Amino acid sequence: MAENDKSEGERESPSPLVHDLVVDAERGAADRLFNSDCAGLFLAPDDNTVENRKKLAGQLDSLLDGGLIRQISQSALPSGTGSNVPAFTTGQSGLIYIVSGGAFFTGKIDGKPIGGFASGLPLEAFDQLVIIHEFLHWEGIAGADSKGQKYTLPNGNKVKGSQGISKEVLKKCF
Amino acid sequence: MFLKLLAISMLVHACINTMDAAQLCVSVTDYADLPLSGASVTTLNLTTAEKHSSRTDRKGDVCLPSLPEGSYSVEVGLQGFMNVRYYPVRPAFPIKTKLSFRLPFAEITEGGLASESTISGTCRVGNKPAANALVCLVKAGSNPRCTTANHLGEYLLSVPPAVYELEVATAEKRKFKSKVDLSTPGSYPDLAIFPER
Repeated sequence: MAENDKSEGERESPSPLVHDLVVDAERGAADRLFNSDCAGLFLAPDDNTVENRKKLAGQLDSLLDGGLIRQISQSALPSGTGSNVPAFTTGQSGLIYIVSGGAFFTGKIDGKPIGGFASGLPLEAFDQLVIIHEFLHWEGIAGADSKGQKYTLPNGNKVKGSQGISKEVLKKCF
Repeated sequence: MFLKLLAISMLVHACINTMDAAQLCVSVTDYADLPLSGASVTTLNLTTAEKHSSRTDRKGDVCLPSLPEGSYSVEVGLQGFMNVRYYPVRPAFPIKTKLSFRLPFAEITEGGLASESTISGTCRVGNKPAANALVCLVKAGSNPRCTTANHLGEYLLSVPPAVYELEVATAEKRKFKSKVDLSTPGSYPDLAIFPER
């Protein structure tokens, strides 16, 4: 059982440019990073300390507070981007974009409930999962994942593709 | 006295140079009209080929205060976005030339969530892979979705979630039929099919 050592720190007011759901999801995701199993997706075992988990959660908070987590309309995405992409990150230390009207907000893709690993997951939990997934991209722990790319996470577990990353997040953080 | 004159002369020269110089300010945003900080802004003098690079600040702005008058191309880039270039740009003293760039996203290299059901597996006859077997998912009222298994008998098919009839025909005309419930979007991996012998 992972230790849960969450301590409430002071948080700045988040960017007013994103929907409340995004703010709630980011804050909820940051709280989950206080859990050592969840933080293990980002921190090697030796680095997975209370202090580092706190820093990690603070870093995620600062992305939202600093306007690096944004919303974007589906129409602004490159042609060919599937309607099943709820969010994406422009690269390591880049920007995280949540797609307006997408699965992050509706829990549905083309009118149908999200399937696969996320089947039956409440929207609140799904949204937090998306944020943690994107934070892995932002940290550079996982790069492109649209073609089943393989990554070894700091906890030593190997994941494959976008769904592999999300399944690991689900397993360790929820 | 000579030194004083030299100093005054240098000062005047410097002032003239500054006055001759044009100012170019660049603003960079994304398609949500939010500023993009850290974007590279590169000016290229089209006559002298002299390059100058800078980066946008937190507000997505950067000003290049002392460009010699001339004709330039201005290119803006940032990881995850497509580069955008304007040319020719002719900043001229005393006007402050302002350019606004709105960067489109580069290709998104992140995978999506399951919206369809994907079935995959291997067709075998006995222990042998059924290379080139025709694998189809059939549903009344819609066209069948078919694929040909590879040399190892492996296949992969994606369909809208529903209950289907899975039909396989090997190169040797052996056939197999089975009902498969793919009504929940997601992956249905490793379904081995053994057509009748």
